[in-house]
Formats: sequence, C-alpha cells, structure tokens
Amino acid sequence: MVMADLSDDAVIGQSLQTPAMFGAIFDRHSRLVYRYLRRRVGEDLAADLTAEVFTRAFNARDRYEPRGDSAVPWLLGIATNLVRMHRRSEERRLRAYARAAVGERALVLSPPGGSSGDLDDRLDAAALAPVLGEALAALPARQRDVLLLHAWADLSLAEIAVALDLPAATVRSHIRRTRRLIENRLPQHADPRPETRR
Amino acid sequence: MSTAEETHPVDELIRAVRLVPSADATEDAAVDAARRRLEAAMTAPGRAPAVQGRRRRRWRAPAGTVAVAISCGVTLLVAGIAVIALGGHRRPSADATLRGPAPGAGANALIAKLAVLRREQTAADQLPAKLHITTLPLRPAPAIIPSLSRLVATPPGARIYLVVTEPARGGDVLWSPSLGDQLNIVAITDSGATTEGFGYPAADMRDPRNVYLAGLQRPSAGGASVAQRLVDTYRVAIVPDGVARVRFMFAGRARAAIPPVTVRVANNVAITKITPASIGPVRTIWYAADGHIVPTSTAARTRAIAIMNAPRRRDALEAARRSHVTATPAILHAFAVFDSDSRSGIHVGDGYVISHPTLPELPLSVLPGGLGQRQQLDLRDVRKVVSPSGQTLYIVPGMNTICLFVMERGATGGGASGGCAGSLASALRGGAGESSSGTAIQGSMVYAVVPRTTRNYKLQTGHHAFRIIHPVDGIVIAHTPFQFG
Repeated sequence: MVMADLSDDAVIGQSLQTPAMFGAIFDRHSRLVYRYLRRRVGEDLAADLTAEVFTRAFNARDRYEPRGDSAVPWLLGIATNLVRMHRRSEERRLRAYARAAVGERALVLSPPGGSSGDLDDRLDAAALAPVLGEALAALPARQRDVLLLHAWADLSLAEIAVALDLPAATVRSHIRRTRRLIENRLPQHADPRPETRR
Repeated sequence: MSTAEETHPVDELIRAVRLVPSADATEDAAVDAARRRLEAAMTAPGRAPAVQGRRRRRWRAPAGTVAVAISCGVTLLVAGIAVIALGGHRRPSADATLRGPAPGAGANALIAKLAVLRREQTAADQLPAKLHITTLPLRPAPAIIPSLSRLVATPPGARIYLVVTEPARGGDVLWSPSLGDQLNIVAITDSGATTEGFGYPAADMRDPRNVYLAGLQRPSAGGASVAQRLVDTYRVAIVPDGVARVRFMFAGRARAAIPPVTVRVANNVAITKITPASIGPVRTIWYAADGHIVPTSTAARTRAIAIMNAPRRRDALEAARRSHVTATPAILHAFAVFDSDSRSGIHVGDGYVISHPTLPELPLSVLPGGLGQRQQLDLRDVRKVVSPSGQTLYIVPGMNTICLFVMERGATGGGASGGCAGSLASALRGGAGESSSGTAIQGSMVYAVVPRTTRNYKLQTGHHAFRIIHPVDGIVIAHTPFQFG
C-alpha cells in the first residue's frame, strides 16, 4: 500500500508496529503545527514546541482515537496544551505586538484565503491590530484557545472539541462568548467585517 | 475545514491580522530541527505506547518552575511493548492465511474453555476462502486455523467470527508459543474484513481487558462523520464457559458519563455497539447465570510481560550500574524526601511511606532507556513514595534536575509517567510535578515534589481558584476538581 493512500488514522495505527511510519504524520502536518505555534508563541519557542508536539504525539500514539481522516485536531490539541504552559509569555507577546502596532500599522497582513486582498481592507485590519492584540491577551486561556484554533488553525468547532477534549456545546458557547468579548472591545466605529466590503 | 455557518467577522479579522511577522526563511530550519528530535524519539529504545485503559497524563509545571516537557514517552510503557509485540507476526502479507487442516494440540486448552469451539463447525462458521483481512492497527494478519472459526454474532451490518490463530513466533512476542494457539475475532462488514490483531492464549482467558474492536471501518476520504464510520463497529468480549452476562463500563469523556451496558453472552461472546461517545477505553465485569461475579485475573499477562521484558530489564540495570552520575548535593539538601534513607521504608505524615530502593528494585520505567540517559539522573539515590491509597511515586535526583515518576495504577507492565525540572535553578525553586489531564466529572490528580522551602503549595481547583495545601516532606499527591487540559 502506498503511504500517500493511507489516512492519518491508518498511518498512526501502522506506526504502532513500525515506529518510523510516524514520520509521515510529521511530514504531513509539521508545517501547519509550526505555523500555528509560531503565531501563538513566536518563532523561538515555536520550533521547540513543534518538536515537542510530535514527540509527545509519537509517544501517545496508542491512545490516539481515530475520529476521522486527519490527525490535525489531535496534534493541535497537544500543541495548544503546550502553549498553555507558556500562557504568560504568549500574553506578553500579544500585548507587545499590540503596542508595536500602534502608530505605525506595521503588522504583517495575511489576507484570508491567501489572496492579496484589498489593500484598504488589509489596512483596516491592521489598524485594529492593537485592539485585537490586547483583546486576545485579555481572554481567558481556554476561550483564546478555542478562538485561535478556529481562526488561525482553521479547525471546525467539532474538530476543536476533539482537540481540546471538550463537548461541542461548550466549544460553541466559548466561541460565541469570545467573539462577543472581542466585538465589545473594538472601537464603536470599527467594522469588523473586512471581507464583506469586497 | 470551517463551515460557512461557523465563520464570523471577528474570526475573519483575526485571520487577517497576523500578530506575528512572517518568517518563512526560518521555517525550514525549525521543521528540520523538530524532525531530528522526532527521529531520535522514534529510534530510542523503550519508546513504546501504553496498554489500553491507561489514563492520559500531561505535564504540568509546578508553580514557579519551567518544567521540562519531557514527553509522555518518558513513560516507559512496558505493558505497551508487550501489546505491540503481540502483533509481531513476521509474515509480510495482510491477507489472512488459512492453514492447517485440523487443530493441533495447541488449541486444546481453548477448546476446553469455550463451548462454541466444541460444537460442530457449520458451513456458516467457515470464513470465505479468499479473504483479505485488515489487521487493526495495520499489521500482518495472523494465521487462522480454518476448522476453528465460528460465526458467533450477526449484528446489523457485520458478521463476527471467533477464530483461533497460530501463535506468533520470534524473539519479541508477548505470548510464548508453548502456551498454544490464540483467540481472535474476525469481523466482516460491507467495508471489508478486520481483526484487531491482539490474539491471546488460553492462559489469558480470564483477563477482563480482552475486549476486541470488531468491524472498525478504515477511514476513508469523503468527510464521513464519526457516527457514519462506526456504523458497523462493535466491541466484542470473549468469555469462557460459565459467564452469562458481561457489563461494559466506558471511560467517560469530559462532561459526558456513559452509562454501563450489560449484555447477555451467546456463543462465548458479548457484543455491544460502539458509538462515538463510547469509543474510549472499556472495562468489563463478568457475571454468572446466578448473578454472581465471575472472578477474573490479569496474572497471566503480567507474568508474560515480565518474562518478555526480562532481557530489556537486564540491559537497563546493567546500564544503570555502569553510570557514574551523582546527584548534586544541592538537590539532595533542598528536598526533604531525601532525608529518609530507609531501604524498607518509613512512615511519614499523611500516611506516606518513603523508602530508598536499590537499583534492582527500580521499575523498568525509571531505569535508563527512558528518562535516565537524557537527564543524567542518579538512580542510586532514588526515593520511592507510596501513598495510603497505594499510589507510587519515584523521586529521582540528577546532576541538574529532579524528576518525579508516577507509576500507572493497575498497569501490568510497570508503566509510568512523570516530569523533570528544566534546570537546576528551577528544580531548586519549584521541584518537579505532573498532573493527569483528568475529566470534568472526575477532576485531575496532581503530583509534585517541592523543596523544603515550599511550605504552601497552591493547588489549582478552578480556572481562577486555588487551594493551599501543606506538603509533608515536600510530597504532593492531591485530587482537584479542576480539569487540566
């Protein structure tokens, strides 16, 4: 059987017999995990935590519960738990970025979907960055986890429930509450809808 | 992966503003470094997963320290090695091999314990001649003895056969071939035929953990939900004669206790449907027809694991004896637990018993091959702490750290998990700690060893709630309703 034909679940199952097979999981998802971690904890820590995520996943692979084709929610769940160990540094980082962004709008923009996007929209988004940074830093850790897994790692609510081992209803409620908190912190005149004006 | 109804302008805004500079140039280097570390873990000896039912644990830094996130693989899960080795059939094909015209003496013990094997084989009992069996997790399929297959259940969507297989051979198998042939389950569903791959001999017939997953569909593309994938999937408990009913008890997932299910035995098996909620570990209790509980035993497996691990243990002990690592005196002085030097153990407050075990008394999990080599630990100065409830910890000093191992309760192979302080400074400041991830229903367990200067230990009991406890001899074994992530 060609490795590419195997789902993550199958590869992880096979790695119980042939540990080296787990390398395929790394090859498939390491960059996604690294990018998620880099956004959350910065470059320096992200590299170290990425290694830790996969080492832990490898050692816990017998406890992996097949829930679908992709192991991404599982891996990001491990990553998120590791991030929580560095919660304070993450919050400091978010606040530092928020401060750095004030006045210079120097934040790097990443348009949704990877397209270049409309420059005005991107600048609007950048203008809100300081507020967002502060708002994210102020969120309770679990709510921040839920929101960022959704917004930055693109997990569905069901996948977040798997990642964080939470009931789907709790995830839904967390995300609703978190969005409301963020919206309330945005300036009254700000339109948090850069996409809708395209 | 997101669906349209799950998107929200706030999410889009957060996506649009990346609060971190792009740095693709460094990504390759970071990923390469991570890959090297994973490869080291994959090739390290003794890195084996745990047995089913082991409770998940995650590292938790003790207050004020940066605990090194030594992976769960620090856990030298010996029992897991055994289970994995069980699948160590050397045949390369994934097709079931139907061989041997008649059962040999190897099957006699199984036949004596299972009425279903003593009845005549009917045409329905016979497996299809050309059968491609996927062994789960994907392993070479065992050699099935054709005359000893029995159709034992036909739940919706599946035909479940009890089969007898030849014992796996080789130097790394759990069950000695001398124990005879082994039991297994083959499930045939619309999506194919599967076995779970964990056969066991008659000697292990009374182990209540022998519950098979039957008919697990192989994941496929197309976005099918978990419920859809599990549509023809069952748990099958094989029980000896005399067991009339089996009670399945499921490990509850967070905030969702799953009620136990009691199933009547037919053809020496009890089966229950798997649902997405009940996919986790399961325990069983066996009942006789008169309602009495049928005694079960895990002794055979425990013995087999010990025998299988004996060479590994010998090597680990030898490596430990050769080691000249000595714990730094600062560590030994900072932690009260090292004040106790009794080989047989002394009782201290809170009912703990602290002892100073010799090298041969250390469990395999604590010996080199796991954490010891990496952290330069002094295995001659280990302290063993046993709580009144029987929970066992090992506190291991090192040149630059202190580590804490929590032995898995009920694990047959001496599995353990634990953590080490990240540096000498953090060891002296906060010690080492560990917590179970826990559930919202059951809460979590917290384990820590803290320096004698720590008179008050802050135990987290809620998201923003803590309780102060006063550790005896620096040992913390505490339950909290808080669910550590």
